[in-house]
Amino acid sequence: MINLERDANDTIVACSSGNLDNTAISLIRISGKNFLQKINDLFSIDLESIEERKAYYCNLFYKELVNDQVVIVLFKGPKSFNGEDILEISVHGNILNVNNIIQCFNESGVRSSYPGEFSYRALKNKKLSLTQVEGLDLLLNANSNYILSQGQSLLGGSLNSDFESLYSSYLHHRSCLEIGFDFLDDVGEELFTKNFNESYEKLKSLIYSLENRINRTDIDILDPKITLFGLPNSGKSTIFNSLLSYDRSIVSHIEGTTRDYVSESIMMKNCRFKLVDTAGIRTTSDIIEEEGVSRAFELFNSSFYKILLVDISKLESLVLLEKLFTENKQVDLVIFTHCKQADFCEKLRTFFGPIEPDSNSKNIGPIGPVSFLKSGSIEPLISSYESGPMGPCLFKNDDLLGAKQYLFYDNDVSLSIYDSISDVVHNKYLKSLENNPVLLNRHKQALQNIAAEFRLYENLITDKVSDVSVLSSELNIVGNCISELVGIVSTDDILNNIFDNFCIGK
Amino acid sequence: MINYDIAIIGGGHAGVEAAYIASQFQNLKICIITMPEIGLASAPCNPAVGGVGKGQVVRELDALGGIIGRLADMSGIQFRTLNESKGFAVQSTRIQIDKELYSVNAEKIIGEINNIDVIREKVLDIIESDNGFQVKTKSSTWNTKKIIVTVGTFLQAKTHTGQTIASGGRNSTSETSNFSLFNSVKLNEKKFKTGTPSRLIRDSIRFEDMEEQPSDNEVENFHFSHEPLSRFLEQRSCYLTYTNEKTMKIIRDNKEKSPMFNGQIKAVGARYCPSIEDKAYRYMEKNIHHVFIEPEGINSEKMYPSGISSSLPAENQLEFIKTIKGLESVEIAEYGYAVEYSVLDTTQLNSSLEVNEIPGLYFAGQVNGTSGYEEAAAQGYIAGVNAALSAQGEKPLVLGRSTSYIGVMIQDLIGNLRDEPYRLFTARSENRLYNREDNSIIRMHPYRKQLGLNLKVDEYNDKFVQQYNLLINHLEKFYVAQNDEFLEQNNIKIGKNQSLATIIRQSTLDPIEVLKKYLDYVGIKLDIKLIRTLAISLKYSGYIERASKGNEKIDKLLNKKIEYEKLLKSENISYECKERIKKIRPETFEQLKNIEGIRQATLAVVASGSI
Repeated sequence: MINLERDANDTIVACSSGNLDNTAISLIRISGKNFLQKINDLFSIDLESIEERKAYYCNLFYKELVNDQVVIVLFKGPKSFNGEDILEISVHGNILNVNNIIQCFNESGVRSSYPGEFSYRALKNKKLSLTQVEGLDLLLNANSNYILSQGQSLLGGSLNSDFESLYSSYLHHRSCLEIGFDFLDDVGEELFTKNFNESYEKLKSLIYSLENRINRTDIDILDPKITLFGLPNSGKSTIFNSLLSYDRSIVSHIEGTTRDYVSESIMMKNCRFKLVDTAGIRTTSDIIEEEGVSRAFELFNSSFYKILLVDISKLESLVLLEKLFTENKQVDLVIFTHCKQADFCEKLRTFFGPIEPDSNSKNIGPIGPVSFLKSGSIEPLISSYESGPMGPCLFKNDDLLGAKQYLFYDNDVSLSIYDSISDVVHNKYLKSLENNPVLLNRHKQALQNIAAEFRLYENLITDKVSDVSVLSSELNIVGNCISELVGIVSTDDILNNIFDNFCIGK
Repeated sequence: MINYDIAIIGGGHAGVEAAYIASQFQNLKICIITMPEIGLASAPCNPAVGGVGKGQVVRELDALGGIIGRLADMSGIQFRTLNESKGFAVQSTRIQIDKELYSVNAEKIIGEINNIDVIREKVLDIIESDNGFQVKTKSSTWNTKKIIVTVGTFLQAKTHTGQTIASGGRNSTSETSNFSLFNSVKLNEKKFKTGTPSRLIRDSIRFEDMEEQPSDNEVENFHFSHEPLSRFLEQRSCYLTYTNEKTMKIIRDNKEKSPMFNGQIKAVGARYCPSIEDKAYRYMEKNIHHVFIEPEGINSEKMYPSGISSSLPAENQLEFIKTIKGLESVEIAEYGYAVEYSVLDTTQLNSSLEVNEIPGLYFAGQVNGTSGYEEAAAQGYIAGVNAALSAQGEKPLVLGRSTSYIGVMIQDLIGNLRDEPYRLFTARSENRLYNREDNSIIRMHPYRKQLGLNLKVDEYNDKFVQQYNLLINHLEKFYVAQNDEFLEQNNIKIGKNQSLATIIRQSTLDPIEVLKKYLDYVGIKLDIKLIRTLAISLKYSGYIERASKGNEKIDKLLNKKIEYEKLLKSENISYECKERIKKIRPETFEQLKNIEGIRQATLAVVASGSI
């Protein structure tokens, strides 16, 4: 069991620059109190005689394991990032080398750090506030410039200004209520009622507007997934590879969290997404198998952008899919694959009825082999097969799996669909940031509590309960939740919660 | 040379209360040394005891074996419940008193107590001695183990009426000397001020032009052994009138003559007890303010106009008072004045109100920067009971913040340097739903028990609490059938058979009425006070539970004991914070949190248990 508090006196070590790939230089940090003597023998210079905040070039050696030239800088506490003594060692960034060096420190009594432990110590030593730690978390894990800048401003020490105004609005309403019984003679009933109602409405609208900014689904905007669904041979892997081959900025291979699917990091217009191929999820008849279904749906629910692939020649399979995707399970995009068959329009029409072009979805990519007839329906233009995937068009029956956009694709003849897809995905991403969503889980939870408690208070007001001490007591419960949100009351629980969910500091 | 266990300097509301509780420890010898020209427990300002938040304190004191409730009942000439429509928790009793009788009754009760001596002399000096203190007066020197200072507004005091400045804590009394002992006691750097309005001659007032507020005979007495609805005296009415545009114009036109605004008084008054000048200059657009005309006594010719305290020159006071409806031909008995006085830096006191650095020396009452007779009395009780316990070598009595208004006040006083006179109101309590008048016996019973005394009040409390515990369980379990005739008679509709407790909790019903009627219906007779406590406790129990659940996390943190010495040694706490911590010596996280200027970061460090 990790206990940051109990182990607070340990000296800890970690590779701060990440150790997933070979690089030129890696940065290893050691943090603690008076640990220099413990590791002094490993270095070719006397650590206890070096000046702080100066770079020294020296050798690091340990048994047969390590022999490296390194640059070290000592930051003496409390004037360091986390308030403790920190030794920063720049080493050659080969994974093996880094691991060996960490092992040699381990064998000298320096423990590898727990996730978030450096930041925890910074918080503990008042080098960072709760807000700043949350900001640091955001900053280091940001997948877009938007979130990066949010992280930077939190790290800079500014509280989320919306939360601050929520808190002051609460205090104002509270005092308007309090005046009602201790100083009613001074204020008068009329002014009391006016102030009370005004401040109540303001607080109410603030709480509910913040609540609306909570993303209610399991979708994590901080780590957005683009997921490909479909029956076997519907073309998932083809699309997966096609998308990746056009993205030149793949950073690394991310191990799938389960063996059921493969995912890769993909950049789309300066935002990082995780592209997930559910090829591993067994479909066909086995999909009814409970575990498989629940796993697929879990992934479905948590996906930011859902793409369903349908083999145009097997439209019957849609019946099965429609059963699985009930009302609540909407996909963002349907890609019809194997579209080079001459009769695909015919097939579509028999299945869905008349097909209408959608003038609003021009952004979907190059117009493919279609011609718009006067009747408004579409016909394939056999001669222009080579012009690539086609779209946009909209079925009259437009609630097909809830998707609003469709793409026609054939691997043999279509050009890249990367541009088309990155357009629509990025648009959705921007849209989801439009209402300034609440990003952190802790904040979401706290806001949900606030709104739930406020509803009870609201009921009393609606019921015209005149017992002000009851009102005040209920309002106080709302206030406690708000205090937690802004971090005024940072109880042990909150701290534990944060560091349990912390994902930085390897 | 006479030796006392406890000497009390000052015979005001704090001093009398201190002596009264200390005297209940039979083997202690106590003296009150008071100014010869003033009677015990005299009321120099408004003629009333109780009020919002203060009524709760009076009932707490009564259940703890205090005297203030007893005196108020005996001299009560008008009874009222304030905040009647605002819910039970904030309802408070206020009794208008006959000032003269109040003091006479205090003299009588204190005079009859064998182990209290009343010495009517001016104290010349107090010095520390080998095993206590020496108090010097003109005629003698007394040795005492403990000393309680309750000198009210008489510390370096000055009175102001217009440009006339006199020394002394109130009209026609002399200033208290500076005692040697006080050289080692810190005063608040800010001087405080308080004021009192002119007194009006009763016969010159046209009451028919004002709204009459008669005494409410449904209001229960404060003292446990008085029959709840009985009255000692014939009742009198108060009257309500208002200031107007003319009144306020006169006050505004004479702003430069007001000592408070022309710089003559530099002290701070309470924002929540403003003089009429405050109201006039601060709220320029508001001209109508309440003025309550209250009788100073059953036969007194003087009336107290509450709401227009002023320190303007006499002629201006008369001029503006005469513009008020019903006061056109008024005659003034005494003019209003402001008092400027020094108060103690209460952060040097512990929760017994004892000076940290000088064990055995206690301060209580207005000298600690509070306003109000009730606040003074409560501090007198705390100082008195703890001086007595300490004299017997026993542990101090500390009232919890979450269970009493007295606890709230003591903690507020010692936890922070006050920058204006301190008055109790209900908003100061975090646990207002529980800290009510009706359940004061339930709340105070465990504290009173700690004293190990066995007097009439103890007998009464024991019985009350025993009955309460028995009945409250019973009411939860006692089911009323859906078709019970009682429900029909009282037009109560319930969906299914329900416990009496649940019926009482229904928000549309008056819980006391329901319980009273039901007991009548089944033929059970109970003390009206017990019925009130039971009904209101049931009514609030759900909310209290929710509140305490919501507060649980925070309370857990607030109640966390801290060792301030450790904080002082911590490298992670800033110098400024340490200075403040050193001064206040917080014992719990809550006290630390309440210190002004303590940084969030410091709290986070302590909260996370990193120290």
